[in-house]
Amino acid sequence: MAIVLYVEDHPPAQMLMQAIFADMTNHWLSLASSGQEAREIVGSLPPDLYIIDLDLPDTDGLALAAMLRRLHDAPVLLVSAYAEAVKDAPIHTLIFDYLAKPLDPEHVVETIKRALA
Amino acid sequence: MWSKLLSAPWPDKSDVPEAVRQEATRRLHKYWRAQIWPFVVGVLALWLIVQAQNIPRARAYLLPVILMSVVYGLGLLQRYELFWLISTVVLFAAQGMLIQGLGAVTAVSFLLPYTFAGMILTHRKRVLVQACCVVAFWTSLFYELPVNSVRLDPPHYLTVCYDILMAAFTFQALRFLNQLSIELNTAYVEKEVTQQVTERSQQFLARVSHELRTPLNSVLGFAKLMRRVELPSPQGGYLNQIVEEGEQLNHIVSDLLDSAQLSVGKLMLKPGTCDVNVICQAVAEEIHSILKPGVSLSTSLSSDLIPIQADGLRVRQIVRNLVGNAAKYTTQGHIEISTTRQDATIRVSVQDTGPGIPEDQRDLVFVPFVKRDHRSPGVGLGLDIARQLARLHGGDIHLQSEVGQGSTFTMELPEKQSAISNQRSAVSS
Repeated sequence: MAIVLYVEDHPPAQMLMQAIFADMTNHWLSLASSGQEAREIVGSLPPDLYIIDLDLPDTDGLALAAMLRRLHDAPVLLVSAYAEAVKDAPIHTLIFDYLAKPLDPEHVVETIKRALA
Repeated sequence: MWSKLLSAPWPDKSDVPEAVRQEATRRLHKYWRAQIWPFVVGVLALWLIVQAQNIPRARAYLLPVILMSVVYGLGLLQRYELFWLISTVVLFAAQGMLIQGLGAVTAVSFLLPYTFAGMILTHRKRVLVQACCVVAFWTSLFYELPVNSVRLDPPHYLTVCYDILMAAFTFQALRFLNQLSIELNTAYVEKEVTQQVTERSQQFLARVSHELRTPLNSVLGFAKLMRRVELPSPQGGYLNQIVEEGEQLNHIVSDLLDSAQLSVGKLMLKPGTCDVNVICQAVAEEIHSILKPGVSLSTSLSSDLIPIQADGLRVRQIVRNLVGNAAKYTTQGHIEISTTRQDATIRVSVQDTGPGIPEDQRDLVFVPFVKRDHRSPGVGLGLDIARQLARLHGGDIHLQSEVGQGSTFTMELPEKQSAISNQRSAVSS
């Protein structure tokens, strides 16, 4: 049982991740809808894994990943709907892996398992 | 003071893009080599006349001829452009000073090295040459005012001849410069505009794909989650349909993005080691589910294939597009995926027993958005993307077809990595 922080501003995407976690894993999911909120949550409840959307209202996912890892170090999965950012970018040193939208639940669960191993 | 002055940053607009500057240099040298000989002949002729007419202090007229030959010789060598330009200035100045009453005409001629320098030199070199030109310009203009002891006294006809020669040369060169600057400006502006349009359309496509994928994320994600539960017969089928069509939509969005990136040469390959046989096998299994009833699929994979240097994901995309295309159009019969290796080239052939493609339409199948059958699914990008990706790898795709018999698409990929890097640099330049 691990704590996972998902930073995402789009409510249906939050719902989907909640559903994936409830249906297919026994991890605990905390949600943040902005970089600011994520920092506050990390302060009170340090997670074992970050899942961060690349496109956030107040910051971009990579910058947030760097900042959160300084606050509390944990692997980062970067979620993006920009296929090219996912397919063609070399894996950034800060990032454990990319997840491309539309998310495939089984692939998400498997990647989370790898990241937490 | 001097060292401080020289090491400080020199004034330079440096707004000429490097490519434009190089093109200007090339064209200027070409012009110099092609057009300077009439001027040389003219100066030589003047000098001969001076010698023949027994004009006093005739030897002094030798200086321009010597300078001329040096300048001409250096003008043939691209490397000495700075020296070449400065000696042009000295040449013009020497001639103007030797021949009385030509200050104004000589002054105008300094416009040439001044403009040349602005086009082909940068930073302090440019400032140096242009400063020489400005000094020479004013010296020439005011030359006639003060009393000068070394001034020669050439006969009138010589002055007129020199006048004509200088004016003709200056006029001709200015005309060339005018044409050159118009052409370079046009090319530069065109490039800027194309670049802006390309960037805009890139941003637009990235935005569109983002907007399309965001709702698709929920649709597909929730549908796949629901599919984990065993649903009663009709609803389970509906759900499968939603997932399949959603995946199809996602493929179309990806294809549009790939096509856009390929068309502007922005798609970068990630070469690694990949086994083409494994890829073909995987694609065959993937495609099995979308075959029409009455169509069978088999593979005939050569055992002497070696792993090649290529972008595995992209090679898989090529094979999937080819096989997917065959599966789409074949309603009866058989599809075969075969691999062969010959002359350091790997060939993947996809042979079908579909309707075949008439000869006049064979090039059209690779044209983006052109589809032979408007009712078939997809937007008509698959083969275009496949061929562009194959070419990016240094290979190609060929088509053989017989109407009523079927079609064979053959992808060729070089085994060596070098072909990929060459191709990539060719695309990026």
